[in-house]
Amino acid sequence: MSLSYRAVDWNRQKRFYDLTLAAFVVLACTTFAVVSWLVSPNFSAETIIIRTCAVVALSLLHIILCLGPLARLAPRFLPLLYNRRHLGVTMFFLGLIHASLALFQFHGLGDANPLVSLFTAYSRDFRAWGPGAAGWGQIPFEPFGAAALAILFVMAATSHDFWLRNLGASFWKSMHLGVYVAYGLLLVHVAYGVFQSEPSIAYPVLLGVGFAVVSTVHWLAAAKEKALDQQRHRAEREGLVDVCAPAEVSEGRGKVVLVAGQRIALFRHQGRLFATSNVCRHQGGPVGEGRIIDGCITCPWHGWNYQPEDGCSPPPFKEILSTYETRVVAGRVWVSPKPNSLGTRCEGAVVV
Amino acid sequence: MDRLFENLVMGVLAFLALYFLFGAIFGVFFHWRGIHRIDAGVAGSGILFRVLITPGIMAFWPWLAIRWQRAAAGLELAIDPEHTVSQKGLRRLHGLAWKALAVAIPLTVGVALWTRAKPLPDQPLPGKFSQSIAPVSH
Repeated sequence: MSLSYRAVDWNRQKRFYDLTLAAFVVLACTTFAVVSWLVSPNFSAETIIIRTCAVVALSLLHIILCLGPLARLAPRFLPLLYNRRHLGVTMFFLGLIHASLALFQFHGLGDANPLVSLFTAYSRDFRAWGPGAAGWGQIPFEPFGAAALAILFVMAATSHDFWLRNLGASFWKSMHLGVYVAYGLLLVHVAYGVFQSEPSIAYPVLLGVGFAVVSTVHWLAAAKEKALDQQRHRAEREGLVDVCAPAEVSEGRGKVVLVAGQRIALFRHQGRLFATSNVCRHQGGPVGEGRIIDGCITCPWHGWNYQPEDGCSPPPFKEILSTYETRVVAGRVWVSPKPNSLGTRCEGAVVV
Repeated sequence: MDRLFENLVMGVLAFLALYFLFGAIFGVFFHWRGIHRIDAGVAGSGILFRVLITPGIMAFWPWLAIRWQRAAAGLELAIDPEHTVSQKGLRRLHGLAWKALAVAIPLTVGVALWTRAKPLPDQPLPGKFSQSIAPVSH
């Protein structure tokens, strides 16, 4: 959180994160380039760089796609989510290097505009049917990569919080789901590109394993979310809903409960239970999966802070979460499904 | 037909070039006079921040121009006053995306594997890659 924008709000975690990322990229690039050179000494340096950037970028994309669901499945992965945007921007730049060099190597030395050639060269030769038809494996693959890169450009260009605020959180989040479209396009790009030129089974196997891993963690996380949405609470009393036993919420920790179809974050702080909206005002992170740090509810995604008593960010920040009335009666926690007006101060329910 | 397709591609690329060129020109004026009007958080920000958001300005300049115009007219700027995200809506979109990928990817990759050319021994691969992987002769 900061009052005025900075290029990057550097802190110790972000520096460590970025150093680790840089080390991974250097190590992965070096390893792939050396192995490529040893296995195929006839490859030119440009070809090795083109392939290295592609492989490392695609590996990073798989990691990026796994981070969200992994963080839903196990909190230990949350630190990896913290600076995911730097992973994304790094992946975009690797893709850009791959695309720029490929454009120069395969299209830059002819008499046609390289960008026009990118979209027309193979399609001129490709015939799906009729005389001189090529196999479906000869489908032009480069436009798929170009479309994916365009999507990744838009995402990288709007990764700063300035865009989150000025495009609107809902639109920004929906637009960044375009990463799934980009992922699909890239897999098609690889399938009709490198699979056609490389007889080795290694590439299809690696890509298949990657897709299986990414799909599995998404399905597991979806199943966990679905189970949460199917919670049934037992009773209502005076407009409040029975959500859990007080012991289910540890001191300084949160718990997400479902009240009248909406997710509410329940926190225990200094022996009292407070309920707030579960949606962080920053990127919609699950506030209830966070904890209390320095007296403030702290979102697990990017560390945005809110006071449990009134849902307000500590001064001078102005973000506010809705709060909900809570009570502890007959050994159960009861929460109102109706939010208080923004900024309303609640005493919290005393845990006996 | 080929010529028509080439002209179409050239037309689209020319449009994109003009769009981003106009975005760059807009960006200069926006950094100079507009950005403070639409977002108070810009006050005190550094030059690197301005550089970082410039590609986005070139891409989203029509939207920013509308916001600038609204700010100049003294109209409400908040897109989403509560600044909330619909977690349910996003989960539904996620679900749709993964259902589509679960069908489309195995299908298209399967077709690509099924139809890929089988290279003959001691011969360069046919088609589009032969030039890039053929042994270099001196």
